[in-house]
Amino acid sequence: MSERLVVIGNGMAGIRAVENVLQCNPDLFEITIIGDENYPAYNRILLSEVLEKQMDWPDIITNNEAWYDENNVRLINHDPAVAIDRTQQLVTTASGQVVPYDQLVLATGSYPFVLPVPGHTLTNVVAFRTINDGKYMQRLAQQGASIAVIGGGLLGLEAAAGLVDQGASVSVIELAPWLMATQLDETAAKLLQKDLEARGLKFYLGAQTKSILGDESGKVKGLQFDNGEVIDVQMVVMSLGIRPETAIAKAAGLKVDRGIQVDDFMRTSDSRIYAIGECMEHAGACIGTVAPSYVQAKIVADVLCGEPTEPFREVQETIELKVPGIDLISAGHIKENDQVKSIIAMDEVNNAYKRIFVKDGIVCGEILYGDVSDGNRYFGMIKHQEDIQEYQATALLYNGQADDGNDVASMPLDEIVCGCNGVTKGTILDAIREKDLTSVEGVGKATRAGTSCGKCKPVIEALLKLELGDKAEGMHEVMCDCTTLSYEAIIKAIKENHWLTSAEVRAGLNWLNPDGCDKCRPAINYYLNMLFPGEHKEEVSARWANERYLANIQNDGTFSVIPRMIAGRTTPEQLIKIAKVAEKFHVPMIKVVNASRIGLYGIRKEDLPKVWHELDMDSGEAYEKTAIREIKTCVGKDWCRFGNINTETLAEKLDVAFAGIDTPHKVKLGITACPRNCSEVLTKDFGVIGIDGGYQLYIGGNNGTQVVAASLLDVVETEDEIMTYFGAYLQWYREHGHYGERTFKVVQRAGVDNVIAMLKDESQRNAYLERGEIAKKAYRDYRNGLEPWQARLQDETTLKALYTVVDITGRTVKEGQ
Amino acid sequence: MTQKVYIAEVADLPLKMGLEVKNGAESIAVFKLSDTEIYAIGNICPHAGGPLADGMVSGKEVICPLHSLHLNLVTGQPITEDDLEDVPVYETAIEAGKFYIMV
Repeated sequence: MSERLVVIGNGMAGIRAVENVLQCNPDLFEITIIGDENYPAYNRILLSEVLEKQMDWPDIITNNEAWYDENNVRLINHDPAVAIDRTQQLVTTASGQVVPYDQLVLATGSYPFVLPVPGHTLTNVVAFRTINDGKYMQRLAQQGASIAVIGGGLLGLEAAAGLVDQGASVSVIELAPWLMATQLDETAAKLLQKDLEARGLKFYLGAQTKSILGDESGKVKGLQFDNGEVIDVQMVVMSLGIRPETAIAKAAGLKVDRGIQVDDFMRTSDSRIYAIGECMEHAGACIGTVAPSYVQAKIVADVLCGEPTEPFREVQETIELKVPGIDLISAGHIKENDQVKSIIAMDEVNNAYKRIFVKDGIVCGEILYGDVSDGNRYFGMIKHQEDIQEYQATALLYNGQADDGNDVASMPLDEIVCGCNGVTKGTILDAIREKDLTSVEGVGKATRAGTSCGKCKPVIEALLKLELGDKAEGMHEVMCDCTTLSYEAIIKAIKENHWLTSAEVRAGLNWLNPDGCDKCRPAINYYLNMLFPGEHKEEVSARWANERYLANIQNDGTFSVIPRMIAGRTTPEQLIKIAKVAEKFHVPMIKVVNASRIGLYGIRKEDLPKVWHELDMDSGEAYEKTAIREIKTCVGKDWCRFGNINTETLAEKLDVAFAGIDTPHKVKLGITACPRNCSEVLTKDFGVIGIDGGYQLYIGGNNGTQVVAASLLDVVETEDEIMTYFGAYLQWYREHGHYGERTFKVVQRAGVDNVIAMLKDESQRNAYLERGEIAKKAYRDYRNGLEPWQARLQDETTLKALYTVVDITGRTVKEGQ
Repeated sequence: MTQKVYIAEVADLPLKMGLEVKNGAESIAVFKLSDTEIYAIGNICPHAGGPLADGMVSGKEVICPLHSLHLNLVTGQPITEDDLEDVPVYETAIEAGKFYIMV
């Protein structure tokens, strides 16, 4: 009979140890994992990305239930271990289950330190540590709550940034005089603070919390500082670091100081019991990051399986803040003293700061803010204890090469690319060659690189490009879990096989889930429309509510109707029509929306066709996630004393020519008559600025969860040239965008210089334009030349299927028989 | 006491989409996955009250149109959140091309 291995803790260290054991020998142990939380194993590092809505909860699950079944691992979940009987070799859980072991691994992790001030037990005082904490915070944030985050360290700031993005107003309270005080110096911290303040965070530095104030129901209502000042908050998030979770080990009589004491091979004071990850203490040091946990998980697996292994030694790491748009790196020793001196460079033009710490001529630490492209180079120097006495300071600060952060060609083979999993450039290149990998996901599966915090994915992508050239381009994103194919491979197959229904595509490409999922269904419907306009029949069931019902769904399940109002211009007749409909249908809310149109809110689904009929106006596709949404314009030179161009005729031309065409995601345009830029066109997918004698054209701007400034495409003299450029650009986006991806991402992926060069090349531009014209015609034919609402009103089958609500109140079985 | 109530002709139910059925204050979402496989569950999403009948169907799940909570059409169970109530599940019957719900 095989030995029984029990792992207490289903977190990142525990699950990694089990994976390593299985990889070494799947039949050696009968394995049981005992977990506390109500989820299968997940990637805790990515919790803040979920909070920021960059990812969704299911995306961070690393091992789903099926994984445990397939690998014969018994999971006792949501039932924490409460006692270890070392003489009988038994573990007891909270529910009373008794689990015998031959070998026991403790991976109990840590718990967040809670500031023991009055009020710390109130409801709404949480530590951001688990999925449940995150969900709770997200819900409150989305209600626009005021939240105090105590602790201006890495995790506190990631949580605070995520909460602001979700709609909360957030105050960060930090005892130290600046943020991330253990990783940053004052200069870098001030730059960070300024950037975070610009995102809406508020800071109280050098501030001590005296108490948390509650209301009668025991909920948080405020927070009081030592100086007596009180701020109103509805929630307090404590992010003050972690303490090793040692209770069960202590009770069992194992040697525990700060953490559970282990030797170089992770053995505790009991030779059958090991401890790894945040719960252990090795040579007086505890850990709080994933990279050393993984090293320990490998050591313990090797020891258990009888494989040779290296003793555990401190792991050098870089610290990076995972907040989109903020780049900072800190590594090594970053405090100056008698022996440690530093070289500083401050680039105030680009808001970039570098500080390299040197001890006895050897690089020992780095702080980078704003421009982190050299982070890996310095980190290599720190790890290799590189002697830099020969360097000029400027040569150290600037490597003289292209500053794109992806200078992977010159990177040494033994340089670590994925710090979390300790994967080098050499290992990744070997895997790409030996296993014919073409995608970041593939590299992740083969080497684990990029699968933990994910920050190194761009480097992996650059390595793929380096190794495969064009073969790697765009090959990296798999459409969804139903397939292993990339978007590009799927689009190519649809085109070659001339498939005309989603079902054919799924069958033809051996979809794992024959019905498809919510990610691929709308995507394939789009690609079929794009590739075979007019031939593919729109599949309404593959559409999300807005595009299905041709109206925006609201939070109470009613819809809004926002008729077309080109360039925000309206007439008395239109206003009277809108007013009459609003009165007749008792519309509870009429609003001039941001896109210069009038919205009628609170209309029941079954009333939509009647409202459209009475309004007798065009749909402006305001509901579409996948079409041209708005063309925001200023009044232009007809009225404005500064205007250089006529904005409204141009907007009308563009609107009439391109309205109603399917795109991978929404497309917003802006036209402004002078460089004062009243229409804010520099953050639009396509922007036009009128200048004296012509037009500046901009592409790839964005103003959503990420703000991206648009890039100048060209300066032209006529409206016709604008129509040509935009038509080609739109068709390029339609063909190359991954469904659900805004233009800025596609432009970034392809390289903005490449896109501009392509659009300026007449033959390429004309080829896109021509395919775009075919699509435009097909869309019009498909709806018999009607705009979407009028076309829907004439399509009785769809009308009946979508806008019917059956009322059976008082109905009995007899009816209908 | 529950009784069997006629809803609609099976052929008239939209395929792989929801149909909203009102019964007094009660709101029910009906999903036809095929002519022999039709489910009826409560229409109100337990997360924030979204109308599930307007959601997208994926396999045997429906995804709420408001915040993308996934629910199991067969059991009424929320899948992507664990601390929410199930929605009610209604017994259904298909007889001679007609669709009924027990309410």
